[in-house]
Amino acid sequence: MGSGYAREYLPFMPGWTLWLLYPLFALILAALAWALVRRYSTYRRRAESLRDHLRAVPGSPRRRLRAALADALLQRKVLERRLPAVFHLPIFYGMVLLTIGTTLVFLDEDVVRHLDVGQLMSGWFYVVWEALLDLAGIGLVAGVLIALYRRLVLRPSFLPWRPGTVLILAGLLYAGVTGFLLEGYRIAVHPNDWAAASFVGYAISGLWGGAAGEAGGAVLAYRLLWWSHAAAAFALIAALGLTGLSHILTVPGNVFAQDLRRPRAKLTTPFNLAEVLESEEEVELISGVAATGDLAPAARLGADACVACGRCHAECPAAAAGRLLSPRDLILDVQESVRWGGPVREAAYFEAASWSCTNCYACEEACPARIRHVDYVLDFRRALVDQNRLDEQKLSVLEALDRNLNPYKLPSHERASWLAQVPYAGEILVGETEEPAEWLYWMGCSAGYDSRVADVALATMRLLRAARVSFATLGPAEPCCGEPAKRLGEEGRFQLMAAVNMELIREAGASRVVTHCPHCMHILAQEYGSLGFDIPVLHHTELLAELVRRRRLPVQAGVLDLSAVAYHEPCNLARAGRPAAALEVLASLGQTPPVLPARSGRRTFCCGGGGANMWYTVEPEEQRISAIRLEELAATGATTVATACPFCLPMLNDAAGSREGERLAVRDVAEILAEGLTTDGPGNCTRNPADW
Amino acid sequence: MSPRIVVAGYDARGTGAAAAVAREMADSIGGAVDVVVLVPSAIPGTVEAFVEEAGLAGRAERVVAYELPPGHAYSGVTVADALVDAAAGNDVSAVVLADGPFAREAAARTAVRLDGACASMCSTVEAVAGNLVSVTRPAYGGVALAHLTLKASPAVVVLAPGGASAGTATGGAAPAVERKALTVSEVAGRVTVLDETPVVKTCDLEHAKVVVSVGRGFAKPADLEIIDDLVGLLDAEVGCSRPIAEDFKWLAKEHLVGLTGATVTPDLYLALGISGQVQHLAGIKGAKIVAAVNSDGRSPILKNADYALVGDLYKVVPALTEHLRKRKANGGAGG
Ligand SMILES: Cc1cc2nc3c(=O)[nH]c(=O)nc-3n(C[C@H](O)[C@H](O)[C@H](O)COP(=O)(O)OP(=O)(O)OC[C@H]3O[C@@H](n4cnc5c(N)ncnc54)[C@H](O)[C@@H]3O)c2cc1C
Ligand code: SF4
Ligand code: SF4
Repeated sequence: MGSGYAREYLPFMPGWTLWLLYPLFALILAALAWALVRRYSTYRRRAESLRDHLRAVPGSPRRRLRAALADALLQRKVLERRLPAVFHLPIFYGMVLLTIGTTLVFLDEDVVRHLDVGQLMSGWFYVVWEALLDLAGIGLVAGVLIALYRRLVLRPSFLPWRPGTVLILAGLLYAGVTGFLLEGYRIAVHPNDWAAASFVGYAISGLWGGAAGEAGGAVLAYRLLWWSHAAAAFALIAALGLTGLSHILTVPGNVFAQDLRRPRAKLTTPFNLAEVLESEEEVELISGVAATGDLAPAARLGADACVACGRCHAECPAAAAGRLLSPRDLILDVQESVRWGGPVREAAYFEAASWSCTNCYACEEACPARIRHVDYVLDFRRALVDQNRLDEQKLSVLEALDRNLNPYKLPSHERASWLAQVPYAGEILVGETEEPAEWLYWMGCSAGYDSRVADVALATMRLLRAARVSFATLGPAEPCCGEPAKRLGEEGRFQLMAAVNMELIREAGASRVVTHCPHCMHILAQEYGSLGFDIPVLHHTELLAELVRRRRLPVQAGVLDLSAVAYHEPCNLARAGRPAAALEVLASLGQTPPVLPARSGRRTFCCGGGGANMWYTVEPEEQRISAIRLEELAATGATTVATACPFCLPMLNDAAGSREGERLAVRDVAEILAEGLTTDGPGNCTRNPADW
Repeated sequence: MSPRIVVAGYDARGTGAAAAVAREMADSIGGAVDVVVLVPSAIPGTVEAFVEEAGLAGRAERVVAYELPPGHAYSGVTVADALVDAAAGNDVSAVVLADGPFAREAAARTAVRLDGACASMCSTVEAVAGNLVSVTRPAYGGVALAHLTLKASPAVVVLAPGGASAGTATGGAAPAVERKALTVSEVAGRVTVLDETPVVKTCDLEHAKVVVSVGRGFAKPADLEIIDDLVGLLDAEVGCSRPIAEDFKWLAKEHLVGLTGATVTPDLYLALGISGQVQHLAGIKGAKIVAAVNSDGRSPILKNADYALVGDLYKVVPALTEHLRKRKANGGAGG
């Protein structure tokens, strides 16, 4: 192995080059450090720093670090979209390799050589490394060109115009191209046997041809090019602290700063009312963000991590409907005001945006920086409630929760009045059975008042009885779970309702809760859960799937014709980390699985009813969210839409009525399943089935 | 000095209704009624026209028209200023406000400044012994009624929206009209009127005694014409379901009845071609009688109606109109 395979160090450059380069480099590093320290100093709310937050955040730091690195190194979120996968990955890894390569060259010459241990950049390692670096350079240049083409020519509508980003891309392109030109020059003037390993530089050396030389104007040109290359690299290093390039640090930082165990559908809990009431001290019940100045350190870091990629905007149903909300702009507005010297913005500035949000989590699912948009929205809502900026509609809902114990503003004594006609009502009402049942069937307000949803409850009960599941329901005595209050931002009222309900459920004596409402489910499981409630809560599709698996349901598998049934996945199931139980149930029952619309699974599209949107109108709006979704479902050719949420059901049903053409039927999975019952079972429920 | 009852309302209708309530109270205690009006912003025409429209003759002894200084508007503060001024130096046993914009705020401010008691949403108001006032107001979300006696005097009460009816004016002596400049208290200065945009109202569902409501049972916008005569004969307001107002936009949004629209409390609610989803029903709980016409016998509206008619509205509406026309011609009552 020839010792001749070695890197030539700074050819054609005068001897004083390093005397200028190193001080300049030190200056740039100092500037970077200064910018980073300044930026870190903005992650602070009064006396509370990001460090305080990091100390308090639950979950092991090792796991969080692993998650942050996995996102960065595996580019997990980036790879979820095709085009960005094609250009971001080579740019990222191209730059990583080239930065290591350049650092190694200087280390080798100015450190390792003086240690008298030989040279790194020599031998086969050097040759292979050179080839790899050229590959990295090609990746970088090609990636940047694609990115520029996308930004300047394709210009997808969700991508905001950011001159800074274009400048950074231009800088990367310049550094990459000049790097190749310099390499080509070196090879042209000092050709050697192994030069072909640097295959790009080798090819370019031919272009230099006779123009390159050892002296004269050519060398001057080389030196200028060399310095401009160095300048571009230095500018990029400084940009790391000053521009959006900082996402290399802030995005993993944001992942590291988060409580990874907090499920998507768990909203924030700003205080625990019961604890506050018990404590002797005077505690101020602060909830919400009245102005961007009140944002917590972690929320500041989160907003700072936004790379303006617009993915959230592209997925957002509110933006698609023409409402005054773009999650991208909301976060960028927050970012602008928390970065140094930005304008402080009041919650009122975000008013229209906050009320336009359906809490569908599509933005959070899409966000490569793992920003939790709904947290910001909810905090602004809380402040707006605190400032009494609620309109009549929202106010009357909150009042109705107090007075009527339901958001429909209908009398509490009329709740679930249809149960009186159910022949077996006496066997399933809590308090009327001899022993407590195994399951508490939590019906939710919609079953209590919406006759369409009452049908869903009836179907569910038919199925449970056919499978001999021991269950009971509170029926007319069941109050609202408090979801509208929670999502509208009335935390105190919500926790008061929660306290009463937790007691009520415990008293019912069931060991598990089942509900057909994903909204009730999350409120009971997550929100009550964080207030000390520990009874497991399942969605009816989960219980039904389990019953199908255990062959407890008298249904014939593979009989129903589902070829014309499209399944609309509720956001609060598909994006909330719950298993796709409804699909499992349908698939086992049908000859074929149901059809799925273009956007499904974790990228399912909202019906428009979440985030308490069910209870007020949002204006302006160009198109109803439910209508957009129904069109998508109709495009599958289906004549029936299946769903598993009592909000999706009336939303899509309402849209179905106003749609031209044959009216689509909208049904709950339980209703379809009940249709497949071969028998209604024994007709009475056993109270102690062996294996529940 | 005889005890006085002071009255204020946002518009002629409300003022008239509040004055009628006050008259009865005043008669039972041998007192007099003073009506407070804010000009110019509160009433469109002259004070005299307002007195006429509100039917104050025979109901009030005195009308005090307070001139708002420039830059000030009708608000909780200015109404309270007028009421407090009108009360000054008199033995006031009660202040009666019609429900409306700012009424509750004005009531609270007035009660505090006069050291009185305050109650809103009152469906009945009576003067009782000892210069006290007793009222009925809803409790527990309307499932019960609370009978309260207000222990401090004066009692400042706000009537329930649409609760008290103006009745027919009794006629009698026209009240004396007095004009005064309003001295606005300092707090009002914190609000500056930048701009005024009149709201154009094409319907008043909240106060309507009869509502004829249309739904998707109507095939096209032109068909809505078939209810015109019916609406005229019943002296009704027109309501609708959401698709009519928001999806098809055949009627303005103000006509929408339901969870996200108006809550109505008429004596008669006639639903034509409306299926009666809960979001619609939520707005008509307060109707005394619900009648529905629907071609589908399974429509939920039929279960929720006092009078349910399964039939084609295109046949039923003309027949009903004809019937009413005949009855009216024969001198029968409108409904
Ligand atoms: C969040 C949310 C909020 C909502 N808020 C409201 C609200 O505030 N107010 C509201 O009204 N809706 C509201 N809706 C909509 C509501 O769910 C229903 O979709 C809507 O009320 C249906 O309107 P409809 O009865 O006119 O239409 P449909 O449900 O289509 O009913 C039409 C009816 O007309 C009958 N019909 C057809 N032809 C004839 C004929 N020739 N003669 C007689 N009958 C005929 C049919 O049998 C049918 O019952 C809301 C929906 C959602 C999801
Ligand atoms: S939660 Fe849904 S509606 Fe709200 S901002 Fe995100 S994508 Fe938009
Ligand atoms: S919030 Fe997330 S998804 Fe939205 S623009 Fe910023 S980085 Fe992209």
